[in-house]
Amino acid sequence: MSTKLRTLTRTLLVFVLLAGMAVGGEGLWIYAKARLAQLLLEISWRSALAGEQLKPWPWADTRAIARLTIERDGAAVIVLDGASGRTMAFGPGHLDGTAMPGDIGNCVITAHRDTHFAPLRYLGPGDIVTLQRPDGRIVRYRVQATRVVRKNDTSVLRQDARTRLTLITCYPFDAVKPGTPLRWVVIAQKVA
Amino acid sequence: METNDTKTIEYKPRDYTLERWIVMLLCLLFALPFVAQAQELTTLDQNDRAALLVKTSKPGVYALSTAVKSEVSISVAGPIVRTSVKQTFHNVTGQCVEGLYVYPLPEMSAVDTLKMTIGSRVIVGEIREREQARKEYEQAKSEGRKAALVEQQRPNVFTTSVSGVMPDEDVTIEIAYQETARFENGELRLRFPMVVAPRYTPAKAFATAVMAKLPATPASSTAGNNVTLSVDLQPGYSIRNIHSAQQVRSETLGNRHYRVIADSSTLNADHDFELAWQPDLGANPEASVLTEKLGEETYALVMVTPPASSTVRLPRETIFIIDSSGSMEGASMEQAKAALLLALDDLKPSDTFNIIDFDSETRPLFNESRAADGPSIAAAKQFVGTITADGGTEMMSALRIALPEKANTPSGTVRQVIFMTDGQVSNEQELFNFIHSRLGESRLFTVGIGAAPNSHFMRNAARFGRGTFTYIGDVQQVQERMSELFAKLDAPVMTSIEIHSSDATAEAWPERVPDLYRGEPLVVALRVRDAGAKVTLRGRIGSEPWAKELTLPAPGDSEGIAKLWGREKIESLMDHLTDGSDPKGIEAAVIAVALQNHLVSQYTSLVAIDQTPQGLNPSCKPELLPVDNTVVDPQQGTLPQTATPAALMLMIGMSLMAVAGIALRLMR
Repeated sequence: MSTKLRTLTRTLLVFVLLAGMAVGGEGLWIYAKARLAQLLLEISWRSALAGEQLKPWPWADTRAIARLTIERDGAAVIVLDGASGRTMAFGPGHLDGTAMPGDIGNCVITAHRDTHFAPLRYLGPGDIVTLQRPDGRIVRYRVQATRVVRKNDTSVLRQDARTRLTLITCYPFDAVKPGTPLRWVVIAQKVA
Repeated sequence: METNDTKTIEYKPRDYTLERWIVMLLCLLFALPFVAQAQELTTLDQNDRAALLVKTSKPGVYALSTAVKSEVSISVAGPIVRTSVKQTFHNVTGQCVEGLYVYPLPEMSAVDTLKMTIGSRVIVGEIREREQARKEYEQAKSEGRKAALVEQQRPNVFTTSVSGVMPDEDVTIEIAYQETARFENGELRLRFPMVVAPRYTPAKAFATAVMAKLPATPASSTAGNNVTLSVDLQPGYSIRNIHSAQQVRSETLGNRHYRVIADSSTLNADHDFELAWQPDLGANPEASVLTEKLGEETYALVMVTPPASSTVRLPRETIFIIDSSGSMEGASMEQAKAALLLALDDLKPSDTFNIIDFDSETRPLFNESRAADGPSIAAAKQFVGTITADGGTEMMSALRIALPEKANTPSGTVRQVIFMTDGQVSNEQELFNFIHSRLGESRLFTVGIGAAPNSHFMRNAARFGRGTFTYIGDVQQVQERMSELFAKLDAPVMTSIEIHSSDATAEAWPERVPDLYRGEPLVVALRVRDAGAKVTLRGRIGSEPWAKELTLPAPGDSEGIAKLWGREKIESLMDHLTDGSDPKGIEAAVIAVALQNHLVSQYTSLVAIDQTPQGLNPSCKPELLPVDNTVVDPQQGTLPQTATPAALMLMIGMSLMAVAGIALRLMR
């Protein structure tokens, strides 16, 4: 192998290495962002409970609307307003147009299966999920069923006079590629 | 089905064993694939036509049965369009079945009337509280009685459960719903989606397939093609030029009373049926009124029609507010900017204007509105070019600038605020209160941008702002929708309209009457206790006052006015759910209006139960239609995307690093 070709190959490989670091770094950044944002949101949430909600970070275009706790393992996350991809990078999003936590109707919250909603796979009927509202009130929901639906099955968003909580995340949990056509749905009913 | 065929052959008097086997084999060969293919299967999500869906052994999968006859009658009072659809189905399955009648509705309409005829029995629907309706239906079903239930499932699809249909029985389902005629290019327009007529060829239809299976049933080759349609038109004013793209016959029945008819010999099932008519306008604004009596109350529909040509074009001050927060990033921002550039081109040099761009901070183009001359427009276009989507949504400070405490607008000038946003805000109620208190002589028009704007916020902001809400779904619509809006904004004929009644208990919807624009009739629904009450309308044309006194006429036969009033009332009650009002109190108030005005709502359902003792039929235990494991694959995604590419990126990243690392090491 000539020196010239060797140098060229070497440069190329260094580029591949750098590209790998960049892509991997971006992947890590997604996880880091999901964790870091929750720390800041926790502070913002405490201010909301104290009466006036501070912005979690100065340029935030969403706000904390609830604190979701899975009673069994005590894991808690701050739920944000709106379920856009932008919001869900930071925390679970409350789907616009569905009932607010504790209100009559179906409250729908979605999050990524590989970050905030990873624990959903362990939820089953009987488990208790609680939502704390900005006014401090805690609403308890009991899981009634878990289902796998196709992503176009909007029946799970249905609103009626019952007070329910529906948690949605992607399915299967272990898929590497995003954009699967299935969703994991946890249906819970308010405990009187 | 194979056994069926075998039996038929076995009953033949002579015994030709060989022929028998050949015939049977042929039957199996031909009939099997035919039935498998012909049994049209569907899911609730997939079905987009009016149909009776028969439950099968596979949950969520239904066999499709299309109507053998459909009658559509539409009656129009003012802008109210009431549509009644009557469809007949025939149970050809040879079993006692349970089905779902599915009817896709136009947006913003609700089924409020239901009448079922099963065999010789007639069952009429009643409005009940939702839970009560569900209980009564379940009980009737468990007793083997015939019952139907209508519930609001998804906003635009109504389903009616139909239980206890005996083999070979006819089921006729009649539903009625109401909507408002759309105003477009100087015409009122009604649209009827031809969902009643099946697209499938009769040979493929499920009904025909089962008929082939059960030779005793008289097969009808025209199954599903029999559609008639009639429109009874009483607009409340004289009209001219009734027309439709479909072939119709129209006639004048009397004073301001017209009829249009069509049937399946000329109707094209692949195109929606549309009918348009133009108000015959005079030289001055005119007011008219139609009434309906329901119980003790009288409901009135007050209409104001504008003059044919408006005399003066009033000078305008236009304030554009553009949302450039992070949620607008991408296509939404581009659409908003395109819409704004179009708007700038539409301004006349005599108009004044300003642009306010906001995200976390507010950035006005000028300190004060300026004349729309060459240099200002050029500066504005440059300003629009610099707008980028980033940051939060601080809407309040933008509104503070757009609706100042004291507007510097000369009298006789029209002040219009055009607000372009996706409406992703958290302090809705605070913003509504602000608009309500600061509006004064200004008018607020909201333009919804993007795939899923918060239309609740924008519709109500426009209502408090006495303006309108325009929704732009994709980039292709920007030009068309914005031109429509500007044509309208160009010509307000009468402003500051108020409605008063001599009856102090009168309640009018909308509470704040919008302005009257050129070519577009204005409508207010009113409820009074005193049928002899007088109604006074006041307004201003430019700076001239205008007033008109109306006496309520004798009630007509329109059923739509009380319902229009009721739906407006319910909608405004439901809006209070977001402002912290007691949900139980709202529920009770909504139920009261829904029961009184016979409306399906979030808390009420329509239930129809056969009360006659003959209705009891314990032998009819609904059976599920057997199906094979055909995969029914739904289309279109709607639930949010809920996985990150993080894992994938990590894997790709690590593999690239590993490959490069190993290769580099080997090269040493």
